[in-house]
Amino acid sequence: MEQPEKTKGELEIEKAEQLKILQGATEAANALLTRKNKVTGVEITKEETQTKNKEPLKKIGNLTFGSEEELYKYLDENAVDKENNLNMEFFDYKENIWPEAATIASINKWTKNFKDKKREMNQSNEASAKEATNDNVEEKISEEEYKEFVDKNNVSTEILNRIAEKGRNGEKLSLREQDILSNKIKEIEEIQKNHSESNKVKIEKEDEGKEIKVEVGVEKSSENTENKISPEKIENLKEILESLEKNAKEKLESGPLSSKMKGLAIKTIDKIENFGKGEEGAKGFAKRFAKMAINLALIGLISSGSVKWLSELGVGTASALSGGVTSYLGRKMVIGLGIGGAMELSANKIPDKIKKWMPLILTGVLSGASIGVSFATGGIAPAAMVGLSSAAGYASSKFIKNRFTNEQIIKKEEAAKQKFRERIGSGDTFGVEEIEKEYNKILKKYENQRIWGKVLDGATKLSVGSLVSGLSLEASGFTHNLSHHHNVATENQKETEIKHDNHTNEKTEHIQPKIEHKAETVVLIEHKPTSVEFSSKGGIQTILDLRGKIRNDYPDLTKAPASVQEFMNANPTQEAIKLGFYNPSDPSGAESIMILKGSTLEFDDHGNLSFHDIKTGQEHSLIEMKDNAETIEKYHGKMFDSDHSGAKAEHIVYKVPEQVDPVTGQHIIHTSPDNLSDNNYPLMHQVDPVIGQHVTHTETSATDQYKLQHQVDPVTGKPVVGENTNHNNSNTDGKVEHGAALSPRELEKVNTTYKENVTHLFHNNKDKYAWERVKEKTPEDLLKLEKENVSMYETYKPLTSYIHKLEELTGLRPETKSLLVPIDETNSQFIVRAMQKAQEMGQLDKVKL
Amino acid sequence: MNTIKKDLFDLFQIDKMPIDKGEEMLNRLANLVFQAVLVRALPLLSEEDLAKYEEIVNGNEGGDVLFNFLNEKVPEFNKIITEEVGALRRETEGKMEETA
Repeated sequence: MEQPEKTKGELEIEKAEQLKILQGATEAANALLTRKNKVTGVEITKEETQTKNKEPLKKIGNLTFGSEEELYKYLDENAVDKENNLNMEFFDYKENIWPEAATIASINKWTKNFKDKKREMNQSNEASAKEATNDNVEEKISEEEYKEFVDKNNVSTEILNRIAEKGRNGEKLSLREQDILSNKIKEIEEIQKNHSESNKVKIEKEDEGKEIKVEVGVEKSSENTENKISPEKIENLKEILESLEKNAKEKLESGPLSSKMKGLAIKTIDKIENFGKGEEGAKGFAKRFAKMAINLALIGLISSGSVKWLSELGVGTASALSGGVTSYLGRKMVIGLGIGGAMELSANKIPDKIKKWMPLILTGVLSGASIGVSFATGGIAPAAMVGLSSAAGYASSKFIKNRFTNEQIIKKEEAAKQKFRERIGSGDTFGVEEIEKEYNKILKKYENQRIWGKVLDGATKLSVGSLVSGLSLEASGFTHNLSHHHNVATENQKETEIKHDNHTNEKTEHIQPKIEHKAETVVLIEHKPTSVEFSSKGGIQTILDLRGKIRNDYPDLTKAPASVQEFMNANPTQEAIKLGFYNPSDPSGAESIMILKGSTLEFDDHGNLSFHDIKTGQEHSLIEMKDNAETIEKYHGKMFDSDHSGAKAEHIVYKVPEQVDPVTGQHIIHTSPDNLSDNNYPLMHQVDPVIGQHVTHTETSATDQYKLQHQVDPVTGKPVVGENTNHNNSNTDGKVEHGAALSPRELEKVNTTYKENVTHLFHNNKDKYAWERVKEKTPEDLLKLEKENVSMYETYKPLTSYIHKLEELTGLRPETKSLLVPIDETNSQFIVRAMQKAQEMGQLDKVKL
Repeated sequence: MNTIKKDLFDLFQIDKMPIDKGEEMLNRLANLVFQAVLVRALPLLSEEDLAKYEEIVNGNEGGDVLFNFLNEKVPEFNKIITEEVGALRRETEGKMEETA
């Protein structure tokens, strides 16, 4: 029913009443604000109060926001962390006081919106991830067609063409198509090749008359893909390769191998070359994959690039060796094991670009785990396992990061233990047995995590050698397991669990992966931190000391991290230069690093080398392993001229007298392997020229300093420092680093013993040139004689025995050539070096013949 | 100064080549390494082992069996491989510097 129209007077009364209500509300609001202002100390102007009447002001601490939008903008910028999660520190009310209920309401609204948006984003990501897999690709291959393929390996040309076309177009394959691709890869590649040929190259003329090639089809897209190198560059690399091949051929022909062995070597390479060629089906695939793994292992798979490449072979690349099967297998394994959960991997935390090959990565993780735990099941796709085990490393480095480091695990374990203790303390009733059981559960859980960590970390650093060893796995096992992957995966999981149980009560450091298949010895890298104090004899000696310790820690050096192996094979002098401990080319003669006694040089358990400076308390990274590549950071510390002469203290101080070969009567002319200095011996003591104190040792006195500066050549009677030290190149024809600590008199003693020993070794020999023939050869060459020429070996047997004796006594081994040392250490060089070491050890008499 | 050591895979930029060319390059490099390894490994076999090895090479066994055999019989086989990979890497670096 329509209400009667209000009179003007009635309307005015109504308006006045509304104004009164509003005024009252404003006053109430102002009163509230005044109270709040007293608390927060914020003064609000009348204008602001009026604005607030329109929309309540939002305040966070001293900040005021005129509108909700402004507040939201601020929250967007400050309340979200880098990983797009809510920054909980920001929301700690103790840090940020939000006095306004309205502000809190707005923040709650913003938070809800944020969470909703994030949920949507995650759902969208999951959808994309699902789309990225091949699960949702429509299956066009019928049951009958698939059965025909599985049972008889028959696939129609139509299907093959379709798969080839999909490959060309970069379309996703269905699961059945992937299976077929992996088994019919050759046929499909042939189809693709023919297609490329037919479309190949057409020549177009530009206006200027220049000819340009326009390539059509997959080849073109492949060449043009970002991050690809140009055909010219490939040609250039091929030329380099051809040159290397030419050298290798010459070496083989002119090398020490008998013709029979040469023939065997060539046949062997042919055999490897043909491994898996022409073999049909999954078995052939597995072998070809194994060959790929062999190849990668042989050229050094320890490379994030190579691992990624191997991994990506399997995803979406039509001409890839095999990936469909691998990724399919990987996915099934993931399902079978629930390994994603086991590894605490959350799909949302994985970058999109990685997601596409995640199945392979997980296969790799599983493979790594299998390597670490057992091969007792006969191996799941063992060939793939060999190659992809490195993907486990990639996975661990990219995703798992420090999740399984001892530090993290200990932290978590402590937290769990503390929680448990609190439960006991809070009055929960526990019997002794229950306490033990609960506590053991905690121990077991974290012990298992340690094992996973070890396995994954080990997989990260699988050595070349271990991968090659892994090739002893039977590739053929793949075929069977392909159709039983789920069961095998489950079995493998059981195996894993059993092994973990068995190791629960062992110390992590002592856990060694058990390899149960006799012939399938897979070596996992061991991780042992090794540290030495800086030697008073300088950087080179420190390097030698560290090497000595490493040799003790790693009886089998192939189990050491790659960077440690590299360190062991390097020339110590060059290593000292590389690391910045020694600079022989410094024009001012400041060749030695100034390091305070007590500073240390250490390889950590990840193969990173660092120098701890006790003076500053700082840690300097020198060699860092990142993504399996080694980065060397030169130390730039204070250098000084330790002998105050401008000479290179590490090398130029003492000279030995000219030497005459006892057999030939000729002067021994020697070129040092590192080409740095001949006939030079390192200075022992380093003194800070500024403070006048010894830098790395305490035993040197002022008298020592005087001696250092006033050394006299025992032969010539002249001072040995400075220009006067430049004698001719007569030498003991050995390397000098280990002679670092010897005085001229001691060096002379070594020299005399050396001459006498050589004479002793060959004095009864009819061949007066016997020593001449081998002194520039390597100890390894002597060993070869044993195999090839027994009569000659008899001549040198005493020498070989003597070298062994030196090795045993000194712990030294003949140096082999390395990046900076172009030649192997010769017999004479090694003997001298080892004798110097013996003298240093006070045992020269023991090596005297 | 930072020095980043690259392995043969990186030096030859295998991952940046078309797959077929990358595979070919990889095969040839691996052959080079393996040849160098054999030059050092075969003389270390005893006469008896060498005869067995010859049998394997002439027989129908796969390449994996060869590896297995060498790994078992040649002392420090893995070390030899590692060293030869290093040697080839260094030689390659030298060649690349020459052509740069």
